[in-house]
Amino acid sequence: MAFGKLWVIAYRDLGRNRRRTVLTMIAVALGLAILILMSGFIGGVMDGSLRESIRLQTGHVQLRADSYEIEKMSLQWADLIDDSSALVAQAETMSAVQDATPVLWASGILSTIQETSGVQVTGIMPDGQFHQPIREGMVAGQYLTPDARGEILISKRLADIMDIGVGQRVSLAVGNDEGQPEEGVFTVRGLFYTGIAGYDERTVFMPLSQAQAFTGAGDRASAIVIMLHNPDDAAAVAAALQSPGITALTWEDMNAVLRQLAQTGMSFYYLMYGIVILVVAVIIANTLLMAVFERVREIGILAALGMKRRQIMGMFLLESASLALVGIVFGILLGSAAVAYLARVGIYIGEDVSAIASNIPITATMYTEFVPGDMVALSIAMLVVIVLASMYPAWFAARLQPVKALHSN
Amino acid sequence: MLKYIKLAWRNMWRNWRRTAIATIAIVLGLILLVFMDALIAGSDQAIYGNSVRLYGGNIQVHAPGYRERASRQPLLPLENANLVLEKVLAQPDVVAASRRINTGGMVGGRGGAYPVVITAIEPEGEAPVSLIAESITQGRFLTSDDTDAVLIGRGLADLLGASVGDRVTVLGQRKDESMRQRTMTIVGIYDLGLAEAEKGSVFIPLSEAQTLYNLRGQETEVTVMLRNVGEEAAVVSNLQSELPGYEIDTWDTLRPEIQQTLEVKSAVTNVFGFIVLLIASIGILNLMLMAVFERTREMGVLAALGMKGRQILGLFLAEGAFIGLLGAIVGCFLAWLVVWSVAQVGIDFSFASDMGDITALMGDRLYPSVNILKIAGYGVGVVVIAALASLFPAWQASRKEPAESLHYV
Amino acid sequence: MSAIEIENVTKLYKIGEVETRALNGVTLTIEEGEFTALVGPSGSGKTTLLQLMGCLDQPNQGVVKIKGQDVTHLNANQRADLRREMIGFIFQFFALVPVLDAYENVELPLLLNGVAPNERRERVLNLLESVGLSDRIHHRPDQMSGGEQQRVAIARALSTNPLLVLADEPTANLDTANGTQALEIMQRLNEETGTAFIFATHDPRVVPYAQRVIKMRDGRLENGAS
Repeated sequence: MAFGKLWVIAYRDLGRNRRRTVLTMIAVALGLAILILMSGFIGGVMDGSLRESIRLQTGHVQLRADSYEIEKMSLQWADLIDDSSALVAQAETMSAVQDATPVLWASGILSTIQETSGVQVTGIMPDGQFHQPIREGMVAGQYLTPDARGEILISKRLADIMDIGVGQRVSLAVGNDEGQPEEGVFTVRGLFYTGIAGYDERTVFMPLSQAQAFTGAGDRASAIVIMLHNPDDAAAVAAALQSPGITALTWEDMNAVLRQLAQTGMSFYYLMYGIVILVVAVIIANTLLMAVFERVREIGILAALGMKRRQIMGMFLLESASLALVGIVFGILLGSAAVAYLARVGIYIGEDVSAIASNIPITATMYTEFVPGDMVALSIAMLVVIVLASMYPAWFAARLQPVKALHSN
Repeated sequence: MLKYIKLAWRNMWRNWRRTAIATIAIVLGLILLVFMDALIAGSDQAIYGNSVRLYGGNIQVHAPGYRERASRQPLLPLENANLVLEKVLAQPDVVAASRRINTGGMVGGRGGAYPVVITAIEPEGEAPVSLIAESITQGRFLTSDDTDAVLIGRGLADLLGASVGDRVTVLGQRKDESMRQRTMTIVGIYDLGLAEAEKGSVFIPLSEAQTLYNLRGQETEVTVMLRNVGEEAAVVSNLQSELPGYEIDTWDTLRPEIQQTLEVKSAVTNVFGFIVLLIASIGILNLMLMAVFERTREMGVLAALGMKGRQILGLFLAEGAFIGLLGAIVGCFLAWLVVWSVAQVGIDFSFASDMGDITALMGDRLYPSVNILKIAGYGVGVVVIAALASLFPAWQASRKEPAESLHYV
Repeated sequence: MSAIEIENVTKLYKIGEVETRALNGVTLTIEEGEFTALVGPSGSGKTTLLQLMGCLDQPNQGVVKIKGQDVTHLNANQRADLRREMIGFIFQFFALVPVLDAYENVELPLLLNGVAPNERRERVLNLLESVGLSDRIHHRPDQMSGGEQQRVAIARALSTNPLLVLADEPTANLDTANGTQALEIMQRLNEETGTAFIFATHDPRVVPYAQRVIKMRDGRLENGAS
């Protein structure tokens, strides 16, 4: 029997029991929509955090001394870069480079009369392009000037948490080049806001020269942060700037932990995807089995008329596939709509929660993102699994003996 | 009544394949829900349990206003610590109680300077019940005669590159003033296997802290150690009524952001689980619709025999609920099995330890936590959902005129 | 007082947009203990008439009385109660509950009536014996022949000692031997218990057994009272 005829029968059969067909399609659509939403969410958060990390912390390429370990944030001279200006100049001659700026990092604590909070003190050249997010994120007071003495910038969040106002004096302590704590009193010149609560909470800025003096680093820097016009040039630029004693890292190297985290999370998500698909497939198989039982006599008639087994099986598989396809289309629509909506509106989790994983930059509102590759993959997976799950009922239908089928009531 | 149940049960198995498929959908959904829930509970318990191990004490008593700023070690002295001690020790299940000071600061050594929480303890009182005291790997625990002595964890020792006998600089926040530096000798190193978390703590004798940090005769905390972990709630509420002017906290309540994160994670699980179960219930709905359709004539006969509409409704409702019950029992058992098996080996979570200082407390392996009551709760929920899903088909069945049903073929 | 009184009853069916008159102004009286056959071709309305007598449906016009009580406008629950207590049914397709065995099938109406366990047991065993199925008590329908299933149905119809038993084409699915056996059992039980039996049938085998034959055509009674 021609494929076309099989299709007509399948199509009409689905129409015969409209309620059941619609319900099943809803199950498929809902299932796929959830999967798409999940993947959009994961993608959004992962991409978002990577983006923020590059924008605020790592830049595209960083140059550091060979022995510098970012976890320790050492201020010993051996671990710092001696000739930052030469390196900056060298970097800026490259056409791929948008901006290069030196920074000095020190881990320390900030205290008011009553409280203490752990912070990362960052000495910056205020005019460096990399620091634009801070410059543009000022919400109170004033930005830094390169020669300012005794002044720092803290975030609005930290200011609110610790009850600090612009112009107030606070204590800052960092480790110096000999590993000894060094104290100082500073005035809060201004408050910034980046939207990343975890970052804001623990970051304090001061002019580079001030930081160098405070920590006894002389004119050394912890790293040179380089922004490129095109992130894909990172490997090339890093290779070019590599030299004895200097390690050049790309944004991929520096965000490896972040991406590894995402990878591990992925296996968990795959598990969840799997189960949702399985549940939906089970329901479809269920529906199809019911349809088969409903039409046992009819199948008997078709078989008696000469329809071959594989044609009967094909007919039911076709039914199942069309049901799945329609459900998948609606699922894609529904899921995409949800992703589009949440990409704009986002899910608000609050600053406090977003700050908990303080080393992963997450904003207070999590946004989804379209991941077309995932959408396609999930849809295909759903279709394949459904068809596989329908094999049993279809095969069962095909194997019915015509005589027995005709005698059933 | 019992006969109805018998009838409903037998009806369920008329089409065992169909029932089995619907049950599988439920089982899968349940396993997913329970597993996700167990992971979250496990992470929460790990944070809690490890906090108790590392910082000692299940319950802390503070002055009002402490809780809100707990993560910044506010120097709020307790009024009348002796009264607090008296009331606390009068509670059953309290094994020990001692006075402490927590202040923020830095510790500096050869390997650099790092922010820490300085915890000052009464060595004689805490030694018998302190897990840290039991876990000393080098040197010894503190004594109250010690001056300029500090106890640190292996994680911090490695970071500082220090061992027993080495001298380090400890900088701490003084009450109402800025910081106070002191050179101290490491008298002991402990190892609790929580390297990341150990990096953030040092322990010194209480008397030292009172002198150094301007808290003569005062303390900021009374730490309470209970016989068993998990029985805090009763003691907390007792103490709250005995000590109305103080803040009584456990590790759960002390850091509000932990609570909030938990709520977010729970909300996500609930929504997800609800939707998965919704999809599964569509399967049941389908199945029951089919069953009602198949047995229309039989229902007509039962109505002819004198069975009332609501009795027929009850019959189908019971059948649907049974399917839910079957799915719930199998699902809960399998879910428990899955969670229990994974809990035996744990999931490697070491990648997460540098996500933030709270996640550092989760330890290297995550063990999902089995809560039989919760699993049972989900099971009950499933039965309810299954019954609800059957309501419409059952109601449909009850409304038919017997004459109509009898002619339905 | 008669068992059943049907007064000028009309029943209409609407299938899609087409309206069919199944019964057209039928008047009829059935006395207690009758053994009566309603005979007529397909579409004559005999099944419909039987259903109205059994309160399985309600007429569009006219009155139905059972033992003098007007049951025409009773609601569904009330009619169910009535059927439970007073009326037994036998169907062409046997209509046993497939998941219950013979004993349980016969027991079902007694359960619905709330009869005590001991009494139930006694009645069920007696009835099954009187239809000759004492050795099939725990067999399910799929383990019995057509004839045996119908005999269980007969036992079930009589379990509550009803006023009358309505049988819709009871022999249509049985071969000659089984059909005859079923009719003989029903006749015997009619004499023994005094329960009225009304058959709707187009099987000529039934007619010789009937005390009274009512012919129907096109929704009307052919002889006399219409």
